[in-house]
Amino acid sequence: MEALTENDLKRYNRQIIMPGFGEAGQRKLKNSKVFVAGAGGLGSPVSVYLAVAGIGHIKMVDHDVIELSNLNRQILHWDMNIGKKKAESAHEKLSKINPDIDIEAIYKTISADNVDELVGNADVIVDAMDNFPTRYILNDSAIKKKIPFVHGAIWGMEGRATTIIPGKTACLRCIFPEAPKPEVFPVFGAAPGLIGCLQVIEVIKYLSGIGNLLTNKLLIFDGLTSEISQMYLQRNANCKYCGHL
Amino acid sequence: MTFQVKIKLFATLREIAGKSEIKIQVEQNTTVMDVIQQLSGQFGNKFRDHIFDKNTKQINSYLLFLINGESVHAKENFKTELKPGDTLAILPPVGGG
Repeated sequence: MEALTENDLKRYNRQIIMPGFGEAGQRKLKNSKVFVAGAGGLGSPVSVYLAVAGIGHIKMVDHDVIELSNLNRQILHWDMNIGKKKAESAHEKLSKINPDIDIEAIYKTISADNVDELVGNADVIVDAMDNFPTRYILNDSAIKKKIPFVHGAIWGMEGRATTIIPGKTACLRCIFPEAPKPEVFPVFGAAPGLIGCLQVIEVIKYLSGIGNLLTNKLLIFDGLTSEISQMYLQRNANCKYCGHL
Repeated sequence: MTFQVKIKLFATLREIAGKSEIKIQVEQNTTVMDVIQQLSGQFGNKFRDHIFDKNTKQINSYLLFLINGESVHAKENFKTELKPGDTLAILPPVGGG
């Protein structure tokens, strides 16, 4: 396991002093690999906060090019970047935010054929997608590889999040057996901002072993009423995808 | 004897109903399906079309129905009877990111 440097001890001091986390927790983050699927509304806060927290290896995959209509929420991309690949823009910003970590950003469409190779030996998969079909592909790869999968999704001022531990918790297909119809969804940037941050907190807790994970619970943030609630989830014993685990 | 239950709607269902929360008076032995039918009558065809599959006439399987935070699938599904003070939440999955 790679040790912390003098620079690491200074950079991450304010989280190292967190009770229960300490240098041991930081070392775990430094030696972890997180796969972030998507560099958009969720992918922006997710990757920024994973980077500043000192996750040693971040691998992002995105197949889009930056458009003006992305800029109300995708804070990793700026006006001057319109027309650029999001993967490139993400790599450029994240490398500057934290030059001490390894960032890989790939311009590619995640498909059932390439997902296992792309995910590789990641410790966690973060769902920062904007559609259900790709989420299912990621869910299936997470089950196959038995890698935790941190789900997040938003609509308008609403957001949802849950942490899926294959074999132990309900998987995305247990929760939502069928995909909703694709739509151009309304969104205020602060909604993925909030949900993306929750996802990062889940990743940090999982990797460092502190706290309790958002497992078998769906957190629902309702921005219009300022309510946050948690709904209990149960595994579907007959789930075609995770029932065998 | 009647009692009150609370219905919470999210995302597109909230948009169609124009309300995030509805309180209704129900009679004893009222089931989740009874409430769904009542809401469909109250909020019209658009609401109904979001709840029921147009072809099979069955409730869309992607919708989450939770009573006090627990899925109705863990109970008696849509035959589950509501109790005084229950909150029934109906959540369409959201896919945005």
